[in-house]
Amino acid sequence: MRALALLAFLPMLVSAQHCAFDHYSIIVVRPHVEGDTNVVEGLRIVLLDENNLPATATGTPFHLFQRNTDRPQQWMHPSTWRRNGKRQFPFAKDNYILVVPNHFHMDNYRVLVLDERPGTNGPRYRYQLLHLHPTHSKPLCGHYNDEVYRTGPGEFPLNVAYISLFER
Amino acid sequence: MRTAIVFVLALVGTFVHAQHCGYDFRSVIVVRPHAAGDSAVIDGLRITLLDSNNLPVVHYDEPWQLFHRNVEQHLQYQKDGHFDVPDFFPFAQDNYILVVPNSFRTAKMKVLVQDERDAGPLNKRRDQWPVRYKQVVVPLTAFDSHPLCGVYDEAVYPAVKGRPNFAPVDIILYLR
Repeated sequence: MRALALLAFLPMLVSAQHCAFDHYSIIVVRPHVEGDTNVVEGLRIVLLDENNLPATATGTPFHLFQRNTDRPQQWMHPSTWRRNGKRQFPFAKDNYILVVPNHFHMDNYRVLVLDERPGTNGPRYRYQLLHLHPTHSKPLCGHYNDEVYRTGPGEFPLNVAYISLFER
Repeated sequence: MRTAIVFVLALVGTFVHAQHCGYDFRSVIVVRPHAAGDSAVIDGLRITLLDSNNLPVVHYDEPWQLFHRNVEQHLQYQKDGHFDVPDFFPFAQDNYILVVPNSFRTAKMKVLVQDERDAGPLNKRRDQWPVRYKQVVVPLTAFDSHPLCGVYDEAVYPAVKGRPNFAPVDIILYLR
């Protein structure tokens, strides 16, 4: 039902949309082991709201981070991703990313990193909770194709959230 | 020194005696997530046990497991003599279950149900979005963890004095 209502509004939204990813921002996080700057692969990274619950906007989940190098499931056509050198957003490199609506106020949100990789080979990490700062989300409109995220004068540069992980 | 060892050994004897049932010191939480207006359990959901801060439960630095379906599986013994099969309790029927230590205070805990099922090849090929349920958080009560000692293979969970009768936690899901 809600989907139908949204579809009815779609033509209006499309005409108002003057750039791709309008009204959407990006959060970039880089979980790494203490003393090693390499990204740890295969983690489950979740955006939590002020109640520590996975973030949603009107029932739609906006909480599961994905690798920038992963084939996109939504928002973007795979051909764009391939053209960008198998990166969804070139400036985000090999980090984990999440696209959220602009109205998400980052002061109220946290990032929870969970290591749920199956098996016992290799180290497993404790979960980490990171409180976000308003500079951690950057609008995508006009920037989604940047090789390096351009910032105007007086603007904060792209703030990648570095998260150190510790072994269990 | 020798007396100390003898003393410890004697204690071990009492421990072994005290443990007289499978799943001793363990309880089970049984939940039944279903759509509004339909009592059938929805398969493939991600169900997490949350602590009083709404974060996933951690026990001695290890994250506690997720809920899983109560399905009987007949697998071979592992080499070390342990069954490496998911827990199964006949009284829990087709619900989702999670075994927890008795010490978990479920009155302060919550259950988070998320629908993260894969869209499936057909939906992907047709580029359509499958029907999905909203996430829900359900607070538990102190009586939602059921001790397993002596009853883990019962077909019906016996009535226990001073506790309400066994019933799974009812979770109603709504479409997004």
